[in-house]
Amino acid sequence: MDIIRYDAYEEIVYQETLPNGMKVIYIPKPEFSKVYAAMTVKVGSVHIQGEQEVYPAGIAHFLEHKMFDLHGKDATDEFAKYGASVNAYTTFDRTCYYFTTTAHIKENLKLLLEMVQTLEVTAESVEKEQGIIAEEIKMYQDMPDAEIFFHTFLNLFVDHPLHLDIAGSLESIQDITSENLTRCFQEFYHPNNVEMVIAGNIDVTEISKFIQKNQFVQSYKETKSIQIPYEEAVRTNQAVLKIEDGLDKYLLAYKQPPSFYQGEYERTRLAMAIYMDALFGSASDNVEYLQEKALINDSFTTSSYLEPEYGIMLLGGDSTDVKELSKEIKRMLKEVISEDEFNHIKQKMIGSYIRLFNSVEATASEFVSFSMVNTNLFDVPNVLESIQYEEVLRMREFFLGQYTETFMK
Amino acid sequence: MEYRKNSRLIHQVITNKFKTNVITVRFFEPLNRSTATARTLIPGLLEAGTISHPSKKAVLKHLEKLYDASISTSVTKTGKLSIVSISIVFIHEKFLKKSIKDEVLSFLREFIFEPNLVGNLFKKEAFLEEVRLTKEYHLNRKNNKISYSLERMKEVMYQGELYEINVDGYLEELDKITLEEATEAYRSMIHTNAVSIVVSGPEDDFSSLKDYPFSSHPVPEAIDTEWIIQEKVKHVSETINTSQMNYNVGYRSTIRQKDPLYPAMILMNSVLGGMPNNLLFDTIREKHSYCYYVRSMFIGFKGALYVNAGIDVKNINHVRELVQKQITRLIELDFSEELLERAKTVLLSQLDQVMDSQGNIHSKVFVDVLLHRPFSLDELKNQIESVTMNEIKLCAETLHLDTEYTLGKEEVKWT
Repeated sequence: MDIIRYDAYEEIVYQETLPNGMKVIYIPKPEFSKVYAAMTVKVGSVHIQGEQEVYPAGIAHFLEHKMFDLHGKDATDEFAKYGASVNAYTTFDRTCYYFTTTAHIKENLKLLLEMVQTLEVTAESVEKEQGIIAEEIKMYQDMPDAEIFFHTFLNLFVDHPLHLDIAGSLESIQDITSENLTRCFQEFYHPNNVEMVIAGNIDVTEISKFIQKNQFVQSYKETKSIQIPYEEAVRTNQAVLKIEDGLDKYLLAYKQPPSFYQGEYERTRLAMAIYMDALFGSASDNVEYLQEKALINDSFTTSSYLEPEYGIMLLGGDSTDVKELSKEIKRMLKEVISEDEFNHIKQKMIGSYIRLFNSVEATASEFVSFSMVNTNLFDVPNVLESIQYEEVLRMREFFLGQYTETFMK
Repeated sequence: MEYRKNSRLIHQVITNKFKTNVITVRFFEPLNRSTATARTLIPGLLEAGTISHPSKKAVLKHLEKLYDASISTSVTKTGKLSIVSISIVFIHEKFLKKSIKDEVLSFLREFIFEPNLVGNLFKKEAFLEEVRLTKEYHLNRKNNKISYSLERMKEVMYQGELYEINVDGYLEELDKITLEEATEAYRSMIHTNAVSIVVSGPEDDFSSLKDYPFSSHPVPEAIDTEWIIQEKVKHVSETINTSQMNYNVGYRSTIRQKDPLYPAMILMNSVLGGMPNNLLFDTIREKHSYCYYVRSMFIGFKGALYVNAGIDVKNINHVRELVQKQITRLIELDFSEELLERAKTVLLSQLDQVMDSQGNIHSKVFVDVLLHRPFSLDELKNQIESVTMNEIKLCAETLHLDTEYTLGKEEVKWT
């Protein structure tokens, strides 16, 4: 078992890799009442290319729904019996199952492991789920923010599966069957493709023993990782959608291949965070200017999807003049930030970093998301400290790459 | 964990599990239709600057220098009250090389009592900016069909009652509102509102807060018992171009906070549609695949229960029937005792988790302030444990169907 101490912030993390390949992270926070546990599978909406076949769009999300069938019952019920609330979500790259509880930790952990490691699916249960997921897709269709988001991803790529909605489409989910769900499960849900985290009010030795014993029978099987090649082309640079009412919307997206990181993935992520905060943080000159020109409101945001396989940056929001907003943002992205601003933001980021540890869930899920890309959350302050002004200035080059923009009016 | 009532004004919850201290100041006044729009502008006007940090940017920059301390503000409605809330979060000195508490406290004072006035009024530009932002918020209400349709249902349900007042203000008034009215709303908040303060986090001395020039008015009654009884159920169907129909139902109940049946009522809501896997979810979603989401929520300061679901328009009549059927099942005790036990386990676990979040701690302390009782979780936990099946039945029997509302492509033929 590896131990990572973080004395300055009174945090400690234990981690081990079980013989079956599953990585388990323990974050004891004994002062809290709750326990949070999560199992994150490295499969998401982009993983439609299997070894033998191309799966229908939305299969990872569909599988997430079906994993809740356990011994002919709904696993949610079983967790509730032990006082736990369980849920799950699917992203472009991951599927995460998690619960919080204050009691019956082992019973709940056993349920979580069983739920994620067994699939029970029938033609009938698939048909039922198609109805439920169809309503979920329609719910998102009625949300203009979700519509502009997925439409922007649609146009940012041509063939790369990032162009697909996470839940798939009303048509693609009709092609999902108990057979292809089973094959997809067998292909991606091996223990060595899963990371587990258990955080909060736990006794690490006891819980670790329990997990080891529980997982003893699970054999090791390699997940063949199929690399999804980065795609340089965009479908279109500009799209205009219709919006029924309310303000117009605007979303601008840029992408870069993994080579942009120059082998310094973690540093690049932090450098980009500094750059974007300097340019578009709530206390930035640009945001003040855009507010004075009445071009933005609280909906204005920037977000990053910097994964080892691709880098995507998004900016946008609601505006009464999306054309002018587009022009202004593009101009601002070429700006040079000052060294003072750079230093100011570095100090500020330490504060928001410490605050993360206030929450059991946030500590655990951030730790895992760093761990999944082979980085360490506890390294952040040191890396942040060592980042040079020039590294941050280089982030401007990200916005010389391929882009697409979507207007909704 | 330790709870202290430091003065009439300040409630302090001391716990070492957090890295931050949080201070929340709340201003309470009875809902008032004529000042609702002006009052909703107050938080934004305060965020627009103080005497020594005279712009929104200057305020935010100052907070960033305090290791990203942050201020959040809101105007909300609880029962009969409109509540302005100002909250500041900052890192405790243990985790920094120095203490920033004094700077934070002095900034909080400045933020509340020393806004950037010109003469006797807020700055014109700040006022116009806040009006613009509030207007844009209203224009975008339909972006989220789930919350919009619920808000619309409540407007229909509470027509003519005090509770219909929207604390987010009124779009049609935003063109007419004056700088004088907005400034007056602020002054009135400072001088006439009851105030309560909650502090949480590692041990520290916050007693200086009691010397701030807060007014000393008592906290007014919050529980709203008004109920304009209608002969018929109100039905409203609004058409809009959507993929899904949002169906909302509003029920009334005589059970409210402080009622002996209140703990049973929150459990009844859990069983009906509040906890994971409840009667509504199991029937409407799992059994019939009619929806992705369906849930119920109980509003204890008003005595109301809402059910909402996103469905295909062709299933509306089935869903209406099924919702009503689940209430009947509660009355007829047509559900297992195991389900009630599970609801208790889940609710008790959630109550245990209240102390794990500073936000939840503050919310719970304020509820107890409004009910004029000392802060306690144990009492509610004990009451929940002893709720019986028959009490669930009694609660369900109080439910009175008031309003049904749909938002979707087609109008519903109500029968």
